[in-house]
Amino acid sequence: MNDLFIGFTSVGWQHFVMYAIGLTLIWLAIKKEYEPMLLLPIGFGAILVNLPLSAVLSYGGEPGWLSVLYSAGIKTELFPLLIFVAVGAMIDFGPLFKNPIMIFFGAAAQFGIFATMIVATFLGFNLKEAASIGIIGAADGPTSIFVASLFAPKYLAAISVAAYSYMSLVPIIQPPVIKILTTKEERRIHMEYHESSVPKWLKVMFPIVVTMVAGFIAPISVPLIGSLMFGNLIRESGVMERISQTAQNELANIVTLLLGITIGSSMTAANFIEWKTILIMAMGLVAFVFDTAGGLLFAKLVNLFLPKGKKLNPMIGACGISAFPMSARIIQKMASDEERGNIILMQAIGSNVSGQIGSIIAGGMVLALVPLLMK
Amino acid sequence: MDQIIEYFRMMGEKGADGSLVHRYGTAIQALGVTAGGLIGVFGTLALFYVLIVIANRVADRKPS
Repeated sequence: MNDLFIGFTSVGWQHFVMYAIGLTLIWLAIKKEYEPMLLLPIGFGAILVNLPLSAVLSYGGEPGWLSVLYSAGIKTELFPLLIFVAVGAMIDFGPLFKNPIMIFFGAAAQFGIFATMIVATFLGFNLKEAASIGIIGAADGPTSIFVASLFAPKYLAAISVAAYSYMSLVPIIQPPVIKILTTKEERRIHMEYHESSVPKWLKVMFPIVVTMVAGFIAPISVPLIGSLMFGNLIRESGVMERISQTAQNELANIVTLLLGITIGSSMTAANFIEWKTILIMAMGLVAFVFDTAGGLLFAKLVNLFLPKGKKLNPMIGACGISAFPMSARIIQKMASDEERGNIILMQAIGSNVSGQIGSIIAGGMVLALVPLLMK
Repeated sequence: MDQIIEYFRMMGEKGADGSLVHRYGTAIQALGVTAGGLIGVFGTLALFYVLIVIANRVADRKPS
């Protein structure tokens, strides 16, 4: 008789909390349109995996379909890397070539990763866990998943959910930080932009050279940067248009779908319901705030050395986080709100695509340095 | 360089019972990662900056 009602007797209050979390994620995806491509499958995965007996994880001693996907796509780091191929095919580095100075904001805005890592160690996380939490500040889901799956698989679910949630909340997180750290006059600064064409050979050589340079400086970052740049090379080569479109659309869609539901499958009540999950979510917010502040303050620092009339709009620095292209759009909107006709979109995009490269290099640095110090 | 790494590594040293020998050891190791990481990120992107500037100059001279 007990077996007949096993579905009802094998769940506890923790499972109901997970259903609520899953439903909340689905609600955020549908109603608020916060990263729906990821939050919806993650939310549904969280419900699936916490249903009685978790048959999607294992059934009759055999691994269930979500376990198979997890082993094939997350443990091997395949899904995040395939996402990078797709992202690479979507990125146009043109605005960066026209304003190469913007590349430094892509470095400065990685400050949040490291600041959050230090804070996390004070909260009792070990170095590998703290580094994985800090990487939420990469504002780059695949990098977060890549690092967390290597350093802190236990917290992979919480870190992924935090990374994607805060990425979708960039329009809410960045404006108040920017307003606190800048004056109205600074937000009104105009920046000149000269339209010029970028030669094709430069666009083709860039992904090849960047991959090779990154390979020599931080060999461990090659899977990340290599897959991003491979996607970009497909795009810029001009001879693989059909493949480029496939990478940008079909590949991105299929892998995102599988990635989302697989991440959701790691949200078992036993893994997820603990106070450290709340800390990780809080740390994720801290990382995004520090990233924004880091990029912005760096721009203000650069302005100290620039003559009047050549000053940068410091909001550009905040775009150095890798939430592409959302951050650039927000900065442009803020600039227009401050003063109609103030167009800084191209500079913002240049800074934003630099953030993509910067976050991957930062991920590679963390992957290289943490084991070195823990030996 | 090896000495710097050794210093940060030593600060995270653990005793036989698993506790940290040095107070704030992990945080100091995190500082080491931060210093190395920021130098690495800025250094790598500075190199890309130089490459883009050189490429732009070459492109300006060369008729496309």
